[in-house]
Amino acid sequence: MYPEAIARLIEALQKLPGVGPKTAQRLALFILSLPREEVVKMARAIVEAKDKTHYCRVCGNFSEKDLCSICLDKRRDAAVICVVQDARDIIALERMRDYRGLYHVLGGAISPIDGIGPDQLRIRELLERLQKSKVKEVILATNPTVEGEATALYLAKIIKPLGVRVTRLAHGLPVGADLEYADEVTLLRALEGRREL
Amino acid sequence: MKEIRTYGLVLHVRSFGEADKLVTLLTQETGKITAVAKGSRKTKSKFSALLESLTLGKFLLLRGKTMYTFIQGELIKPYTKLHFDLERLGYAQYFCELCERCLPEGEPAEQFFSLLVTALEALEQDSCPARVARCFEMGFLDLLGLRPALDGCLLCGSQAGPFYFDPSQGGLLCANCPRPAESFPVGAATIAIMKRFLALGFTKLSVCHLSPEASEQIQQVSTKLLEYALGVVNLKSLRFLQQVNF
Repeated sequence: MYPEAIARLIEALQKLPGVGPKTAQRLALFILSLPREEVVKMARAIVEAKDKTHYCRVCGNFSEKDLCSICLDKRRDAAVICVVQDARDIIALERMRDYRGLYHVLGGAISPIDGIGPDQLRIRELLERLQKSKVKEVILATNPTVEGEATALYLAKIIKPLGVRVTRLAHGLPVGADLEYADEVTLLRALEGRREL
Repeated sequence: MKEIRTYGLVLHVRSFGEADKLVTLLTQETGKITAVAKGSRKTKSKFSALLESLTLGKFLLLRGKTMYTFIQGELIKPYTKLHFDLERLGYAQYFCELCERCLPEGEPAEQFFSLLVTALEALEQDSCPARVARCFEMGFLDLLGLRPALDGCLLCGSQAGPFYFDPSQGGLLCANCPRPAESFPVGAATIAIMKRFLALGFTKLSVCHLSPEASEQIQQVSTKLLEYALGVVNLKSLRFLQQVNF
């Protein structure tokens, strides 16, 4: 129906997450309506991002160099490492602007049903980091899911014998939510993790 | 669009789209189904805990053309004890993977649902998770119509061992009868325990002694039968359990 070049573009756009045939068609026609220089800029940005972005050798975060900007920042507290499942989690935590330690990206969570065990994650690299540097605290910031909890538990078990303090992000009610709509599991965790005012 | 209300157990959860989850459930009335739960990965979703794997709940779903949509639900039991023990979590997800891989979509599976719920309850309580797993495997094979034939040699009827298990015929062969290359030895104690699991299920399971050798042989019977009869191979959770040495 469409000329071959447009059909190819639609097919390529369909590979993006959450983009079906209709959306891909709409995006393709929008791209065609843009000035040529805008399209070139967009295409170049995609290729450059792919070519220039790597994973940080130390923490596994996105980086254009061997080490990411967080690992290179001397003002950050190297005695604290926050362990996250995905590099995107670092972006969420950095939005908080309150954490000044370093990070470690695991690249997933332990999930037996998906065949992901400790060996498939960057756990060995984390242990090497703990042995080489003087880390005093590891904050486990894996997701509060079944898999995230299992990973946190496993990490706590292997890190504690190294004499490093292991902490876990608190569980509880989201800010701005109504208590009456909270589920039993969240409420129980919130109650267990209550603190004195 | 048809609305269904059913009890169900969450077998597997995958991230889907921007903030959605794709949830595979084993329901009491409709068997195994897959539903999309929109916005359930957001922190303010009130159903996040219900839509976690190994959660028993009551679900309200809407049947669409290709998939179900989760509307709302009520949490009944989250099986939290299984979340905090890597070995038990591995076994629990092994049960879920067996259901996910072996059961057809949308066909009533009430007995499988009961078996799974009973097995998870036992897994929370029992001091030996492997024993629960072997008992589940026997019950699961039985419900699938793959009950191993354990009353003597399939060819000559001999009751005297040693015996070999032939997965292609689903039963025992004695040492004197010709047997295919894929058959493997099973001890008398293993046969006795399999018979016990098939007859009594999870009743008084804690008094049943299971040696590591018998456990390994029963698992081999189950794995090979599923491979021959249903073509189910490479169970990821089983590989995980072997990897972490449970």
